Amino acid sequence: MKWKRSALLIACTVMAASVMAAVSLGSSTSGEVVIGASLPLTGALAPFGDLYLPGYKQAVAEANAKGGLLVGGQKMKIQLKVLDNKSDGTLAARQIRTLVENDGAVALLGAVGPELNIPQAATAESLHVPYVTTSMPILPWRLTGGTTRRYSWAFFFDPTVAIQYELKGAQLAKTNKKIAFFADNDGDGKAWNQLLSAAAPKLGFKIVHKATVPTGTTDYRSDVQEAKAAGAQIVMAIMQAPDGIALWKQMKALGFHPKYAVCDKCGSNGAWPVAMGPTGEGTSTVAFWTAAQRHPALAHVQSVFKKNAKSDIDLGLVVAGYTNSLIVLDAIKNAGSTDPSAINDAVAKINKDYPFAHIKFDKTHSSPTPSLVEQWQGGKPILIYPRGQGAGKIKTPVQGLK
Amino acid sequence: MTVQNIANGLLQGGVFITVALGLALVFGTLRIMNLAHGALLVGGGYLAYSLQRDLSLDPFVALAIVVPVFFVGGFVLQRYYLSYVMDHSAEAVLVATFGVALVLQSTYAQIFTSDVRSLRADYVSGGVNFLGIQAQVIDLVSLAFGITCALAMYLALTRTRAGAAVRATAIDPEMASAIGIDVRRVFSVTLGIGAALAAAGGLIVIGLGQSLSPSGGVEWLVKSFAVVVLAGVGSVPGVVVAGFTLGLVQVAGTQVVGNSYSNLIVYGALFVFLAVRPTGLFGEKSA
Repeated sequence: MKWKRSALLIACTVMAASVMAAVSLGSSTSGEVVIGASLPLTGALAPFGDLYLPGYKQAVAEANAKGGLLVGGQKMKIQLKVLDNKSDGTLAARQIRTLVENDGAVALLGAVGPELNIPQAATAESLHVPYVTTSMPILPWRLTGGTTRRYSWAFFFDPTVAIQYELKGAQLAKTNKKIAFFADNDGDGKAWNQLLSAAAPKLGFKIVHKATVPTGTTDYRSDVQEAKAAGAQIVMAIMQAPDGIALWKQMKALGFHPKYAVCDKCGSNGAWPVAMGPTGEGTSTVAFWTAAQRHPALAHVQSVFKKNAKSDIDLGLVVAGYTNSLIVLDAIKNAGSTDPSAINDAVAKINKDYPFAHIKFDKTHSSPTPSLVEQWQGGKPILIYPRGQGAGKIKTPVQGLK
Repeated sequence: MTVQNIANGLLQGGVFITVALGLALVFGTLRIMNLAHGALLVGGGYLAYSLQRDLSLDPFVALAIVVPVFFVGGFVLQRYYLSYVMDHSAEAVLVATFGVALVLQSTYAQIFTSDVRSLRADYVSGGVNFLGIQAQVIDLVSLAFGITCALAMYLALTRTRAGAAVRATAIDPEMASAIGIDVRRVFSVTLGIGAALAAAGGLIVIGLGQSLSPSGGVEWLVKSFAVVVLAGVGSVPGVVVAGFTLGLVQVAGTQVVGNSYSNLIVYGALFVFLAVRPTGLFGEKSA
């Protein structure tokens, strides 16, 4: 019986070794490279998560259609593993750990907004796995990471520039320069509050009413009445869509007719004109990409993503996700390895034109991309600032609130 | 508080009454906290949205379809599912209704995606100005709906044989059964009415006044729960008084400390009140 025991012991050892090899980080024994993403596919941020996912998938599909990535002389297919974080930051951070430790992800694609990106990035840093994200305004990224980041990278617009452009848009509307500001009290809202408070006086604007509220607030009656009484002709808001819709409906019903109204986040995707109908007409919003600027890859992205995007603004977000995925794939190819540290070093060296923008990360691990201001006109987003190529005429006062 | 602020508080109270009535009825009769209530509120809006999008049906006309659909849905849910769960334990019912909420949320997300939706009716999107007091038309509609339904519910419960059966069942289901009341049927009809009220209230308050999202019902469930608890179990007049009270407290709080803390003030006031009077404003003695 001794030999049976030995055979059993040997068999168990071989099995254990196989299992360990299969679950080790950056495994290439299966011939596949795993990249992971935890996205908000349900919950308040799902409208954005739904737009990033097609871009993530498309880049991976294109690479796999060519036989995979050439990594260290070997063609390797890419497996994209996506989890739904339900727009919850705590779950999002936990899922990063799951993707790395359970699924063997060697690189990670980011989520949506500071509330998800910041906890996810922190987890990726602790695991020493590169995390590349978009939909993360650069200012809060820099404020929370400074120059301490090693493995997390972000490319998106710089809110400092975006706020300036939005104020320049207000100048086009010829107002009395009195602003009513509304924001959710999340990371974006706090950043916008800080930036607007600093930038507005320099351009001759005055904030006459300010309301920072918890996400999910539905009653803005008092704030709207106070803003109206203060004589505000400009509304600048940054909030999630349900809150923005409630605010806009109440502004209209209570007879508050600004000449210029910005709804960032809430008005920043194609769901806005669909949900709001005529009430949404004339709302402006920050944007990051427009077909009017004729990017080199425009025809390709318009062709492959036409069913995913209801509007130019949506297409910009899809292209951002596509670019995010392309950056990671390029880094893996350039690293010539599935070692996360080598991939991370390759991300740092990226300096290339992508469909979304030119990407080159600085010492704060951020790559600012262009800011634009668009206004919803006839259900379509029209570029109003910066002036120049592709820009249209601003319509004032805000039609939908009349 | 100014007259405008008082008006705002009463209008907000009307919103609270409208969304809470269905939950109050179910809680008062079946003694179960229906955790699917929020999803039912949103569901009424979504059904009306589909009817408007596909058949160009006006949302208020759509009520003629939404109400019976949700009544039947609530009736069937209670009759063929929750009744059996209730026989096991109250905790199991809580979990079961939570499960129903999750199923509904997932269904909404599948059918409508996570994009925010909204009903449109231009004739209620505006406002009125009466003697210098401003109000949204939709808020006035909500207030009228909530008060009318509360009055109808109160009269039905206190002036009709069916209402007497419901009250008897709520007080002592075993005794009610012993005297010939079909308790299962009473429970089923009650949940059906509760679901229908939720769906109609959600259509008006959320679909027309706010926006629809798959998980948007959670916040409204919490608000409805606050109203019901403050009112006292089983009290319809209590729901009206509690709704107005919470609305006024919210607006007063906003005036004092700003909108940032309005929820904290409302729930904090509720917490303090219940510490003093745990049975709520009207307790279990009133019908």
